[in-house]
Amino acid sequence: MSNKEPILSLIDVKFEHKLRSGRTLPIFNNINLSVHYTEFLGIVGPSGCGKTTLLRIMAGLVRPTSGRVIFRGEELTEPNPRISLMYQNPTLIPWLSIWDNVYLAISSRKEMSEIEKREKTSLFIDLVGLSGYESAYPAELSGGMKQRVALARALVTSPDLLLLDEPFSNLDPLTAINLIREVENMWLDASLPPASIVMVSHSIEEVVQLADRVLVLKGRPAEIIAELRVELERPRNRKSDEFYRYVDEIFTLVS
Amino acid sequence: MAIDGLIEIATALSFSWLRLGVALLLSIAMSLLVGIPAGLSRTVERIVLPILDVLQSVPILGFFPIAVYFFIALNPVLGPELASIFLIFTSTYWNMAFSVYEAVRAIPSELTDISRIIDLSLSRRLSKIIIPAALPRIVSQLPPSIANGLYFLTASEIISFGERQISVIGVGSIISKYVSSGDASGLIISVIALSLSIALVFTLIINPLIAWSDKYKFETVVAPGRPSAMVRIEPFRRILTTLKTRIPPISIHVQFPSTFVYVSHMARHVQRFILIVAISTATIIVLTLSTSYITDVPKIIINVYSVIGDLGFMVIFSSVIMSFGRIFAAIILSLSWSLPVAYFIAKNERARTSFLPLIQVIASIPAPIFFPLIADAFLSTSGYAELGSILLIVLGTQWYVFYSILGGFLRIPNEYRELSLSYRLSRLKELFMIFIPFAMPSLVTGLITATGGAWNTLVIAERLVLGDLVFETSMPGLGKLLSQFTELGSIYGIAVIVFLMTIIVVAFNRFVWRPLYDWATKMVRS
Repeated sequence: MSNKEPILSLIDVKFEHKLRSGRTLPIFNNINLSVHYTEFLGIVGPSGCGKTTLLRIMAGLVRPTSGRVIFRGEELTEPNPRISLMYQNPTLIPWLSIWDNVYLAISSRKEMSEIEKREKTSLFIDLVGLSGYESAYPAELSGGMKQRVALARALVTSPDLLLLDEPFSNLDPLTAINLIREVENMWLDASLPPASIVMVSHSIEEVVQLADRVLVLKGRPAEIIAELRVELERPRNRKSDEFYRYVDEIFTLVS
Repeated sequence: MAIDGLIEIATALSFSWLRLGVALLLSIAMSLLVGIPAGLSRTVERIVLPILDVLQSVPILGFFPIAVYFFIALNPVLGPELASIFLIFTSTYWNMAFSVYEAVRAIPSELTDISRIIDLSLSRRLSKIIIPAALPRIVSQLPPSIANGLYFLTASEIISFGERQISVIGVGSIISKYVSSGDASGLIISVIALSLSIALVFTLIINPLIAWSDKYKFETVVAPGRPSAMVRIEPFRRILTTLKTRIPPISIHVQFPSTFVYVSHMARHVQRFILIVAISTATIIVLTLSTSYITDVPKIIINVYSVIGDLGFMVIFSSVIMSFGRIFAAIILSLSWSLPVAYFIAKNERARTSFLPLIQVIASIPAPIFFPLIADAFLSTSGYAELGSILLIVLGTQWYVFYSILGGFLRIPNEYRELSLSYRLSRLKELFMIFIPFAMPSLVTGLITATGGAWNTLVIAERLVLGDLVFETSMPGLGKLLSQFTELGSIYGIAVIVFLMTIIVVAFNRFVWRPLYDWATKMVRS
């Protein structure tokens, strides 16, 4: 497959909520976008503009009211194991150990042997810096550690596409910055999955730190009002003037 | 059927509903009277809660003979009527009292602070804050209370005590009359009339009340993803949440329970258990004393002793075991259909809109309608009598089980449902690794209510009396014993069985359900 082809594209995607009264509330009309291979796409927008819904549509968890979602050349109609989603909350299963939580994600895979599954589980727990915590339970971990487990669980499936739904917004600022840096390092390591990442966020700094390309979503129903490339050397310096020029530019667009 | 037959049914219906209405109003008034002080004051709470806990564990029909004695002695003419209302009251009251108490406890402390700052008088606090806070809970308790009252419809209208049998005018007594006289058309018409009247009461009174009381709710959080379905399930969800909060969770703030914590935890259970036994003993002695005009305590002890002696320990023991077995079987039966159906409904958006209303209709059919059917199909053939008895218990327990499971399933956060979709978990894996553990607290609560209800239904389930016909299990049982003692008019026999049942229910709650509930809530906390 040529890398010029997008890994995922939304074509004329429209979504509306059905209200109790029977009326419909349009969330967004005719969204068209593409996610390319080896691209980190950021989507910013104010709270409640439908970012999360858009991400769920990309994950195949929610069907759009109309329009098509194309993933690797085929229409996406249900969740695909090659797409991982990481939520704002860790959503770990409380009665499973850290190891079992990560393992669960690949437990139903038929093409992998049991040994492979175990090795991968250990590998990714190690990768997010939690080796030694395998037998702990989610309640015994801090918020940042829980989100790391969620990250390991999202990566263990070796996804082609990783979808991040404000993964740092429930962490304290210090933990968030550390985790963002680690995600960036992981992203730079070409040997690791995924091929592409889409992250939605309302934090402009986060998006400028990580994304190659930023889409600004706004309005009701929401539409993509702007698109810009972040041409900054990685790892990016949060304190540099260029960094803040991007932040300011996007801020003006969003507000 | 002639016109006067229809008039008779209509009259009976209005009398039954009138009685139920009076009993419900009494329940509401009493629950406010008891629940508000208990919710406001720690001291009152400490006294009132164990008492309520015991009284709700006492089998409802156990109260009855005692109440009949008392009320008939009070006023021979109105006595039976009052006794009947009292019985309905005892089957509608406890859940309400607990929910008022919970609602008052749950008033946000900010609101209490503000009312103190602006110096509200007590009467204004009651009318502006406390009663409005309790209203939605009371209203949400109306459906289960009505269902409970209806389960004992027949039993509450035919008062038999020893040789005497008095029936008050009502649908329950009329159905029983038709059954014993073999009047099929009369039976069918009265059953249809009863069902229609229930539908009418719900659409004209209960549902509007529930909708109206919504505005008094403190929180109105509806899951953003699927508003329509959540709204439909809302009334039941609310019932379930109130049921759930009936058991004040004992929170242990220790991550790794050491033996010490466990021991002190159990010690607390034992302590409360002893307290409850003491209270229930006192309650039953006082009730017995006040109704039998005997102030001679030694005589009571001798009589109780002779009851136990006459029965023999083997009979008592085997009755306990058999009753346990029947309840256990009934719970398993309820679970075995509830789990798959609830799972199907929770998984399937479309099923929720089409299937659920149907289930709600079935659930609202009053249990007594099935009594003659089950009696005819199972109880009259000796081989199937046990099965019939278990089915009668199922009638009184299955909806608690079903709605608690469904409520638990529907409260599973959307993200977790999506996880199992994304990872393509098999249905069994999803059910046992995600759905059931998540629903555990709610499921345990449902089981507590269901087993509590099951003990109450035993009096009917193990020995069903319809008019002159008696259908009973061949094996012994506590409910059967209680029913027989009632017929013999043995107040001491009744007291012994009621006491035994109370102890069993309370002990089971303390030593099985409470720890299980604590474990379940701890498990789902992440």
